[in-house]
Amino acid sequence: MSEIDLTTKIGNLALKNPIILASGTAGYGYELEKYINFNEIGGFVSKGIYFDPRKGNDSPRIYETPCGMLNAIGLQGIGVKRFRDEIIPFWEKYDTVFGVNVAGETEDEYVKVVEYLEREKRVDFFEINLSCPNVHEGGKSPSWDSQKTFSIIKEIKKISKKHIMAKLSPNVTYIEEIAKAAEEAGADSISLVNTFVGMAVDIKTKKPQIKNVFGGVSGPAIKPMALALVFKVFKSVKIPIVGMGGISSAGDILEFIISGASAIEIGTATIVDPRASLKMLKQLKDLMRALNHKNIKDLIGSIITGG
Amino acid sequence: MNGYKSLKIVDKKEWGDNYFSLFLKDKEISEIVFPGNFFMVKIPYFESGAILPRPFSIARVFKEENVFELFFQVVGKGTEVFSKLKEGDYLEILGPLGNKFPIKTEKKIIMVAGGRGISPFLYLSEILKREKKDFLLIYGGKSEKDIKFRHYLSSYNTLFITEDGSYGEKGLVTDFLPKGAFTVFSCGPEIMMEKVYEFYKKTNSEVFVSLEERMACGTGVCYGCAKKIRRGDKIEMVRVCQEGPVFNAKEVVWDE
Repeated sequence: MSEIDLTTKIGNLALKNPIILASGTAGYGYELEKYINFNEIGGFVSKGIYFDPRKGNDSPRIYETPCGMLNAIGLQGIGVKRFRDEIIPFWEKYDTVFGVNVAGETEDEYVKVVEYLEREKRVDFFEINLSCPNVHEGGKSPSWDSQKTFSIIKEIKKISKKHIMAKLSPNVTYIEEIAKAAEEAGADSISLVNTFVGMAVDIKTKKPQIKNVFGGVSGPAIKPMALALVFKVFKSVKIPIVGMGGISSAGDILEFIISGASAIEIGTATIVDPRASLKMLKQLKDLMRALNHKNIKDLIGSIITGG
Repeated sequence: MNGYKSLKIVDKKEWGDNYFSLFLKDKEISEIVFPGNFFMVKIPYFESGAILPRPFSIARVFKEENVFELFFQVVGKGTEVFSKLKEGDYLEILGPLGNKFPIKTEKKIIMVAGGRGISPFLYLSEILKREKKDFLLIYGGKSEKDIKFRHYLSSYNTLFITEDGSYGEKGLVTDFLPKGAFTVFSCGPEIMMEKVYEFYKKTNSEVFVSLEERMACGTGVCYGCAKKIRRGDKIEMVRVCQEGPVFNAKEVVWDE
């Protein structure tokens, strides 16, 4: 049986395989250590990190919805100092691409987080979480606005030599424009999609099921919408794309890759099963064989439309 | 590596009134599981569009047969699917997870259970009896329909209470709490656990409660099940699945 080549590249990042664990669904890493060997996965993105520690939202923070879930955790986090002192050393022992998801309440905060961690050799890339509510803008998120997206990425690029991945929100009217703004500002890659805004109501108490009222919808329910957005962005930018949104099987992975993603992130599937990523990795090899594909790179953006 | 195990349902008991037990066989789990611990159990995916695994507390353990029991009441979509499973079906299960009730105490142990909150105290009663510890189990429900395991519990020091007096004493469990200095464990509705804590907080008793919160991963990655917990002079959002589910009641922020 011939060997299947699953190695892929996101710009200058070389991955063993296209599977990355998505931010917010894999903790800081140590939580999953007893379930998976990180050397087997393509990459890992940390929970979103603000400069200071954050308490996060009150409970209830989650609610199950058909084929998916709503969450409003509120980016509970340990802040950059503890992240540098406790989490980065943990990752020294693993050979996988390691990214930090960068959060900010203001434009300056994003820059401060990157500055603080820029010299950490173990950090391979920064995934910029553009969906954080901005405190100076009445809670608007920079990901809704191409100019804000442009200026945050531009400011970060001025001070960072690392790979900068701009993570986009799907809650916009014209995502191509935002993606182009990130590319023009110098982003090395784009990851999408973050969660879709949603809500659910308890009909007995008339209260929202999530304390925060609105939450982010994730899971298989969002896959078709996420895939469409990935393909739209693929057609409008030249930088590589990391696709995500409800991926829960090897077939899902190939759909995203064929539609233009150079790699993919697994999110809610890890919440459902801590070993989901490795189960999908095994499935992916079998599926490639069954479809007679030898090299996953050949499939990136290989979609055939029209004709 | 650890992960979900596929286990066969070796027996099922329908208690009536929407209460069920599923019995699973696994040597390792039966040996290591301890009251307080819980499991995440996957829902057969095709059934309902429900994707998240559900947490189950350990109920009884039958060590000689390597069998353990999950006891539940149908309260929603997930538990409804579980109630329809049959002997011979398979369940995917992760655990045991979480911490344990701290039984290393010189004091008499009082266990206070409300409704399906009886689960952890079933096996715990057996353990405490084996270790020759002095204990009392107070088990309450709305009516006699909510009081199960009557035969099993007759071997242990149990006080049964129902709100309508249809079985055991009439009233609320909190009407029957003994005065004194004890180690108190409680599991059930949050309002009941809070009242148990209120009753004992000015005494020399220590109260430990098993908290419930909507849970998604059970592994600590999602931070979905966090509760307000006092740590030093700060209030933090702490994960029930990782740092709990058993907490010292004086650390719990009850004002919600």
